[in-house]
Amino acid sequence: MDPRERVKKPEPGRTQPVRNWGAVFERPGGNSVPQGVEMGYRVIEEYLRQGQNVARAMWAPAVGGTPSGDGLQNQMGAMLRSFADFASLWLDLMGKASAGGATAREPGVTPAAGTAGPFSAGVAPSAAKAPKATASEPTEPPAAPESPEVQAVAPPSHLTLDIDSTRRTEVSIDLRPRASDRAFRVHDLRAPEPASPRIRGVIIEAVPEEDRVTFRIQIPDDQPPGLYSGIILDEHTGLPRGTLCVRVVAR
Amino acid sequence: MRTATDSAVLVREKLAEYGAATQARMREYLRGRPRNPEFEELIADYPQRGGRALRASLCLATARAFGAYPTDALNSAVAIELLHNAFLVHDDVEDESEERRGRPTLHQRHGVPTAINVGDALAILSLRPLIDNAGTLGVRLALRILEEAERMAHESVEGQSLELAWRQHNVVELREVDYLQMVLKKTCWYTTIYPMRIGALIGTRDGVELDRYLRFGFFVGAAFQIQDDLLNLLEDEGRYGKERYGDIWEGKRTLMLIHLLHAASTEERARLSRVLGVSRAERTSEDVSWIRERMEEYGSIDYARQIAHGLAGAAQHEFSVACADLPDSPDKRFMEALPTWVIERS
Repeated sequence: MDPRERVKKPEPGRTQPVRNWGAVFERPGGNSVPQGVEMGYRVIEEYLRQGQNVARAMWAPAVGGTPSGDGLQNQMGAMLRSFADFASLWLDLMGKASAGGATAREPGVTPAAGTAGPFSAGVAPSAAKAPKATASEPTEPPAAPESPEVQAVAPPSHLTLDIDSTRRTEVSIDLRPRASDRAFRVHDLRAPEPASPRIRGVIIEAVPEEDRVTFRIQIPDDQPPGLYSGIILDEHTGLPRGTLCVRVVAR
Repeated sequence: MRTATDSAVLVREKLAEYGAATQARMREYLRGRPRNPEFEELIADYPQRGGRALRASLCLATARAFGAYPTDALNSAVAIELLHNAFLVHDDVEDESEERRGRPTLHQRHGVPTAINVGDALAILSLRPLIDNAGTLGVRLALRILEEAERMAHESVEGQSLELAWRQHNVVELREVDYLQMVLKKTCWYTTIYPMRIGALIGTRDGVELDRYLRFGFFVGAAFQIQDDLLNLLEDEGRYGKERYGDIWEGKRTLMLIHLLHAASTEERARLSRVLGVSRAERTSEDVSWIRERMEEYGSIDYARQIAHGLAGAAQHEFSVACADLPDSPDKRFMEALPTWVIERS
């Protein structure tokens, strides 16, 4: 070699990085090793995906499953579920407490009974889910005689949501299986943070002839993202009948 | 740097240590209530035949790698071994197997009804150590372990039902992915995934996300199963402990068989389908030898071996991801060495 000739690097055997890491394990004379790796990952990832879907469906049927987005979204979903669970429990306690005394003081008023289950829009509620006040259930007082204007009925089987919002909004409604009337009102929706403004003016319109209830919710454009909730009250008795939760997603 | 030999020695030592501890505790459960000595003897038959105690060892090693005392996970390890033996008794009936750990299967010796009853007894007995966990680990953790056990059992029988259905209906249109899905449920859950999850539950007192071990458990378990199927074709009976070519006799849909079904000519495929479609009693040794030779001819055995190597490599990778935060210890090194040991064992 001419000593004046410039030393050059030999041409590389490949022109791109090796991204198929499975080839690292390849043995001489065989080419099925990466195939095994690829098949294995396909199987286990599909298994994990199915498991996650089942978990989502099982955890939050009322809100259509946990959002599949980022970690923040998942945390928000978990918060929503926790709040809904807590609110249901609280309403149960409220209902039982008031049922014990209110019945005696106000004849004709159906005591709060049962648990707050998920509202099934467009689907008739299962009879099995509607608890009945019977003598065999010592925790429930005997049902008061039903008057024409105060009837123990199942929740409406049709729900309409009228949401006026420029942003993505998730709505969850828990309505008790028994209601004395279809006339409801709802408190202003509050966020856990005291500084966040409330969502005001939620309207609930009942149309008994159509067995339908319409929720009209208006989200102001400048409403901070977050979870807002309010209690649904029976217009006549003032007793809590459920919860309304709205999650306003950041832009 | 550890060599493959070092890894094999480490795994063998740990399996011997943890296997002996598990066997000793298991004997206490097997002899705990001697009401009917003859029946007790039948229940103790398979457990006393020995075995590698891979599942129990993996459970104990994982718990210890997380800092648990050796005794914390011993009951759970015993429960795994008892249930494993229950599965073996029933599997042998379902597969019409003739040998288990070098001796005639239980149903060959005592008949199918007795074998099924002994399998039931072992499965029921496996609950006792899990219940006893309440006294040593607390009720909450004991219930979590029971919950995991229920899931594992469910996955395992679902996987077994898949394989049985393939044989019952002589399914030959199978892909390798179908095989891996079946193995994930039938083998991996109770051989590797569940023992690791239980060990991690106990070692962290339910303080870790268990799904992080799914991938490692699947890859190492699948490599284990393929290697097990390969040994059935390659090893002689004395070393392997099961009937040679038993999987072919039983018509098991192994990876080698699935590969052969794809590689064979139309005529050979028709013959294969015919042989697989008859009962075990109707298969001849000529049929079995013919299938074994075709597997060799079409490279099905090499193919399965390479797939097992790929899966073991992926297991090593997944271990480094899932267990990166575990401090170095002999138990961690044991778990890390399992993929290598799995494909090099004989």
